[in-house]
Amino acid sequence: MTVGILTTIAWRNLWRNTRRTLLTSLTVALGLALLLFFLGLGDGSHQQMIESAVEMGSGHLLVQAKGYSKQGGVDQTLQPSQIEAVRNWLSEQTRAKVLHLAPRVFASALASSASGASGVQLIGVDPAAESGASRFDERVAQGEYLAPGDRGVILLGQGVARKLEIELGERVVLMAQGGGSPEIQSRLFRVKGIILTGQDEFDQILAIAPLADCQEFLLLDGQLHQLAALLESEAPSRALAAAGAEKFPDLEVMNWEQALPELVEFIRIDDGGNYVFHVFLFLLISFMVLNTLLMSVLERRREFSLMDALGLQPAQRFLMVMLEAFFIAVISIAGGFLIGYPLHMLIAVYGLPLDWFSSGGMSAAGVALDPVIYSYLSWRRLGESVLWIFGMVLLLALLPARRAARQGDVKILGRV
Amino acid sequence: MLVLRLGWRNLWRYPRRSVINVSAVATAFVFLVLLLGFAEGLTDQMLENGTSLLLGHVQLHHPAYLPDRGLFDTLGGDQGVSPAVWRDLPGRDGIQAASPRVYGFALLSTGEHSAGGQLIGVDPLLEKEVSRFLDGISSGRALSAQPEGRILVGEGLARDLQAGIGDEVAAVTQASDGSLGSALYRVAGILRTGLPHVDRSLAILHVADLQELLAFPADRLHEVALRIGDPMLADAVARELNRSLPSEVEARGWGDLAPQLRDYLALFDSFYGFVIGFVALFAALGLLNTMMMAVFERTREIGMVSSLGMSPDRILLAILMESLLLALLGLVVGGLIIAVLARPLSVQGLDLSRWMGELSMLDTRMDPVIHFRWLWGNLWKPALGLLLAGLLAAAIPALRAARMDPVKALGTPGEF
Amino acid sequence: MHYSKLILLFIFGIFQGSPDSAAPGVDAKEIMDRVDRLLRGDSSHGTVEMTVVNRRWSRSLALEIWSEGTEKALIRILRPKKEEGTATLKVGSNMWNYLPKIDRTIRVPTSMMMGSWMGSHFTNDDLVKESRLITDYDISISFQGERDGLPVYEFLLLPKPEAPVVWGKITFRVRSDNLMPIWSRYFDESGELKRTLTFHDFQEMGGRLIPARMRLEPADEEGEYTEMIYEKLEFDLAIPRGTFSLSSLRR
Repeated sequence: MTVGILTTIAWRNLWRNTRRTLLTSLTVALGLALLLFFLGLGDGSHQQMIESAVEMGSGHLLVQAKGYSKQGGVDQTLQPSQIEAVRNWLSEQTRAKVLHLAPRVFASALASSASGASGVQLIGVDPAAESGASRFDERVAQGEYLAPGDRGVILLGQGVARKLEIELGERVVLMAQGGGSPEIQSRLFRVKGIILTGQDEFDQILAIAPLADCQEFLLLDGQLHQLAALLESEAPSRALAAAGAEKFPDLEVMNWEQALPELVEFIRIDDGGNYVFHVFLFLLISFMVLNTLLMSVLERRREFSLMDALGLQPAQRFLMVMLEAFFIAVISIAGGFLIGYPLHMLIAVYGLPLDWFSSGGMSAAGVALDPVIYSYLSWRRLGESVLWIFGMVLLLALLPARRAARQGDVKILGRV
Repeated sequence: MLVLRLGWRNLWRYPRRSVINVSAVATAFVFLVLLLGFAEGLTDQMLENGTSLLLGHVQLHHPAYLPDRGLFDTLGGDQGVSPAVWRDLPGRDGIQAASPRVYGFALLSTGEHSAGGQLIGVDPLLEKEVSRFLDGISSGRALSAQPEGRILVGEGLARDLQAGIGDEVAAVTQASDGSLGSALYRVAGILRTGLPHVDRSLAILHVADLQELLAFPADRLHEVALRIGDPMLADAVARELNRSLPSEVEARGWGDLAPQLRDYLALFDSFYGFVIGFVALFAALGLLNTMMMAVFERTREIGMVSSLGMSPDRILLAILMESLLLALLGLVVGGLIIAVLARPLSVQGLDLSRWMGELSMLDTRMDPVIHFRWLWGNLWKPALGLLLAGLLAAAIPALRAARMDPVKALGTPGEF
Repeated sequence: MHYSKLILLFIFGIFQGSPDSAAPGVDAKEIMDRVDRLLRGDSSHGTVEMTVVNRRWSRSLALEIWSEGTEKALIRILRPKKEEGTATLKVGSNMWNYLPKIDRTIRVPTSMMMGSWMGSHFTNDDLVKESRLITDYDISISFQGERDGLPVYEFLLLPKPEAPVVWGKITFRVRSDNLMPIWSRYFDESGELKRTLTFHDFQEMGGRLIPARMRLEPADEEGEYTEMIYEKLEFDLAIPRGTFSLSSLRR
């Protein structure tokens, strides 16, 4: 008997007892859907943390003077010629499309008002480039974000504003050490907006002002501390950073993973927890599927005996059951997709609001968790899950298939 | 009783089928209980990680100390408190350890380089019993038990100061008597908490050394951190303490002190509950499948019994009884498996680092071993749920078969 | 004088500066300039009793002060014993503290500029800031006539648009007959009074009439103040070369 015929028989067998087939498939399909659901939530929340970290300032790709990430001195700048070279290099890249390129200067400064003072981390930004590259513009709780061409204005974190007891439009004087000079520089700004990121450690020190003002203030004519690039997608950032590091040996070229090692580590830890959970889930699904498969073969003892009597060889019976399992796997995976994928899409588009479960803002590893999780499934994750489920069903089917092959008990036929 | 006997006998008429059903119930039960235990263990772990770094479970402060951490808001106000107030706490109300702390801000300088430092004065021996932040020494040695003018500095701070082990660091601060307090310390070790913004400003020294710098007598403390047996009882312990503590000393639990941690844990708890709910649903459906298959398979048998004159109610009752017995047997088997696994999983725990590889952050921030925690509610609730699912699974096909025309039922293919 | 660049002068020594900011306040500026000349010397040397009172403690320090121009000053604590030898050197916008207990000189970083100087209500920045009233503010006379039985001028100082100063407004009153300051008041931008500096005990010292006592009171801390009383003051003396150096700071 050819495999072709066996295939036909196997297929027909499935539909001779539709209910049994559907019940078995349903178990597997629900398992797959569940797996997709949880994978989507886990990866989605990590993806969001990365995006929010990237958009809270780190960018996908950072270019700085050598040693800036360790030392962060005001004198460790990118010179105008270097900036030009990096810009040219990025515009020539074909593997990654740069959506936004944000020039920045940083300084530790002391902000003071008539009522108080506070240490701040000043970021000088180009308002137009920055609103594409980072999300500070969406975190303005009061007043407005910087507009292109703005001069002499500043955005303060809410904690800073509170310490200075300052209102929109009021004066704040910044003092800082300028580049190449031992003298303390001071400069007047007026508060244009109050920023609330929801993370205390940011809101207590954040100050954002126009790049041109900051360059003048810090005596950094045409120089930058950082160029941050937001790419079209995160994927090529690592390769691009490696290429950049090779091309500019006297600069620091890093992707977000190198710039945010704590976040990478947090995600690895969280993945570890998720991993245990997924293993649990997968084992549970396997056991339930095994039970179902065994039950459905058990139910068919009489049928196998009949086939045996009709001359179907054990190997053929084995193959037949495996083929049935193959079809069941295909049907279940299709079913799992039908249930799981729309569910994933629903959560990918509308999100799962975490405040259903709790209240208040949250953060982990210094990166704000959005109160809404959006599911995220990469093709790789999808492929892996499908392969795992597929492999599992076939592997589990070995047991009932062997049983079917062995069941040469003609006596069973004698029972009505 | 007849029904019970009938059910029991039926159970053993088809031992294989029964074994599969029992195994389905047992599997579902074991996995659900393990998952719940894992989730509880993970919550404990996160709480432990969140409180052990510095927070502790309960803290004593001057009522006005938080959130501004004013230098003068010491326990008991300007008079301070006698050490007996906190030294005698361990031993009562489940309090295991108490650690005194003094906080101060100082300018640290190595001559060439200077930086602002958040100083924390601790008693190294007592602190080790409450928190783990003294364990995070990436190089050098721990503080000795006696005040010897040694200091631990955060990694980032050491970098900013260009200070290495054994180097001298000068500290200057506005002391509590208005004078300019100053002292020289020798760097004993470099601290790494895993939180970069903390590592960039944190410096730890002996509480007596810091009290001297700040011109505080020994009975002026800003904080006493307590470790208690069950962190979940922190609020209750704090309430109890507040009855007997002297004036201007207030106890607060970790949830009160770190509402973000409480929110995060609450969110995690309910989110995991939601996730496990889904898994339970899946397990119940899987169980439903095998049970339903088993009963559907017996349509013919039921038809025969019915044609022999057994009333549908009796048939239904017999089948339900059989399912009940199956489910109970499954729960017993599952319970035995759980009983075997319970101790090792809770005592030795599950070492996540096996899956995650080395994580440097784990040094201080996270213990990679998850100790499962068992709650009675997490045992009987899944058991009850599975029992009901089993009965439901049997009831659906049994109802159908019992109501079926016996002749038609007899015509159904099947074995008995 | 300059008994001021230091503590007073930072507010007051002030009135030098280029005459280019001309215009409506011509009169005011000229008067201020004369006030300034009256109080200023090329150099000064004196001793001061500084008393700080706040709600937790009060303390008194005896200080010895040297100054030269507006750029350089050295202040050393003479008493109490515990703090003897603690000293502050200011040169330009930089400031160092010498701490005899640990025998270290430490530069005051930008981040500490708004911190209190020696526990007083003056900030380090108050000591360091060049007297830039005339460059940072538009000055006008808001009142001229008699107040409390004395002939006075009242000046209104409004910050120039880009001036890096925190005050929204400063007012102060000067006796018009001898150009002695009476008080100055500092407001934030919404017009709320933040602190008041008053001048008392006008007497001859070092050959000049000066207010020998002045008192700074923060507006939001009832009952707190820092008071400085000049015990001895000489002007235009020859200050030894090297006085305003890190090595003399340690002496």
